[in-house]
Amino acid sequence: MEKILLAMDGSKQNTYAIDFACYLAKLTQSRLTGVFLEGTSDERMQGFLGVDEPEGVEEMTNGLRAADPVLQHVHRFREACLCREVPAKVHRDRGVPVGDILLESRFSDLIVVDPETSFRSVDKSFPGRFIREVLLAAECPVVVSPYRFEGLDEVIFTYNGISSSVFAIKQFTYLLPEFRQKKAVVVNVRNGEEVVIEEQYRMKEWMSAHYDEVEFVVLKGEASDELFGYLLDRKNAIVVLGAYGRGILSRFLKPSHASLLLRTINLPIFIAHR
Amino acid sequence: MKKLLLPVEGGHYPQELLDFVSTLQPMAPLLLTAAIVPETDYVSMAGLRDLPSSAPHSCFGDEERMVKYNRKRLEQFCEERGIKLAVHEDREDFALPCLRRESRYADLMLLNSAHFFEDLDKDQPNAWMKEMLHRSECPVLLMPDKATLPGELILAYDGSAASVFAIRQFAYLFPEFCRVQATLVYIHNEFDAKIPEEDAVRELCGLHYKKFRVLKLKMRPADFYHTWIGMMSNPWLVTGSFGRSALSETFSRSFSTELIREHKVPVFVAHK
Repeated sequence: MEKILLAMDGSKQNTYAIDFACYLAKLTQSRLTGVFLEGTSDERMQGFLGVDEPEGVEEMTNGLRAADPVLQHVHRFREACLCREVPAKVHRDRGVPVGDILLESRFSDLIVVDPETSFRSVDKSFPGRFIREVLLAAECPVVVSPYRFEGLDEVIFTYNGISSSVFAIKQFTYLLPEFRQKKAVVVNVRNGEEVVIEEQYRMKEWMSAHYDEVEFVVLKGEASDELFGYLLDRKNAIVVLGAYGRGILSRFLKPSHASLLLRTINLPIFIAHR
Repeated sequence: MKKLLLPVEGGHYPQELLDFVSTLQPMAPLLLTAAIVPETDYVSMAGLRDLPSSAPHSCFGDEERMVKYNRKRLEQFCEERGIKLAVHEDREDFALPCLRRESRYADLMLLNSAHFFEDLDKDQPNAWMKEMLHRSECPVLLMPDKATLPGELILAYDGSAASVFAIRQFAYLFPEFCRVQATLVYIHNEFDAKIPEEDAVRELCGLHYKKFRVLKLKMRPADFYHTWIGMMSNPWLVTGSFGRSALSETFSRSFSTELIREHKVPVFVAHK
């Protein structure tokens, strides 16, 4: 991995998200690009949904006025990267945050997002529309940063045998081979489905080729409930979400559940789409 | 450790691909999975898929003996070279669906661009190869008979998500080749056509590929291999799809087909 984007709300800063993104960048020796997104008006946001949206303005920070409220955050971000010896770059995207970040996602290896990011004062939902759009449409994997971060000791892969779950596991492994020596837990939730032995054998074979310590956990019941219960107890882990995509992701994106899910679990969540 | 999937059709012994695998092994440890599938494709015989129908051409008993013999050769070959081997025999299933399932649990599938199901159709890329390229759940590396490691990479780019996905996947799977000369090629028949998102793609490729350049050409794709390919040293083509609508005509089916058939250029195909 070479290029990580950290998408941030330009008007407020989340130190934990920066800390987490720096950790990934340092671990993988990648360059971290802080993308400071500034939704300027609801009209422009609405415009993104239409066809005739003007392009967002990308501007480097050099030459900006000192009074610029985002500039302080940019300085802090640069300082944080400098302290952690992470090569950094800054983009300021004004106007159409979702459109800008989706286009940038095509040319990036990974996007880290702060779950609190939102650009519209009227958008009180959680997670905001920006996060929902990015998770559903980004062209590279996305990691939702945790609220507090103290390091990662294990990787929890959700797996149900379908193509998209294996795709997410592969993408995580290619991007973060540094986790090879961490404990890998493959969680499979079954709700009465039959187990295909050959598929399980192949999965174990692939996992053993990529991870030194692999544990398979089988849970029984409804996928999103069981996973939620399982993840509640975990600490210092990252969750790779490819399986149970519809159930878990829709629950995650549902404002009534998301707050509880994200804030209670407090684990970084890696999502990759086929 | 990369898990390579090597389809073995019945009693065939894929010597050329194994030779290539042995050149890869010293660069990065490998797990080679040989998937032994029926030499005769019963799906096409039954008319279940849109493939030319084929008649069973080999006696199953002979095939059985050849499979046993070749399996021993394969095991010996890997043991001598320190290659970890797994053999999956799926000979009672349909070949292509079986390979597709195997591809879900592999990092890369190796196919011989001259011999894949050649007993059924010698005209490559034949329907079986095209089907595999479209349906594989891992990237596919099409190798000619005498394959070499890449001396140069041709990154086919048309601005599409598919082309960038392939460029990224190649870098993830083969970090050991990211130091060879990589050329992003954008071909357009309009003289003043701009490279889509040029700054962004330059930045991404420049980070992954240490010797990187961009080539913008106004020519017919067909002319590309008569001119530039000939000047390149052991080129490999990296492309996002094979005859899919997502990729523009620039590196369309005819282009890749010509490279496979006439120029014996290895082709790396990846799609979501």
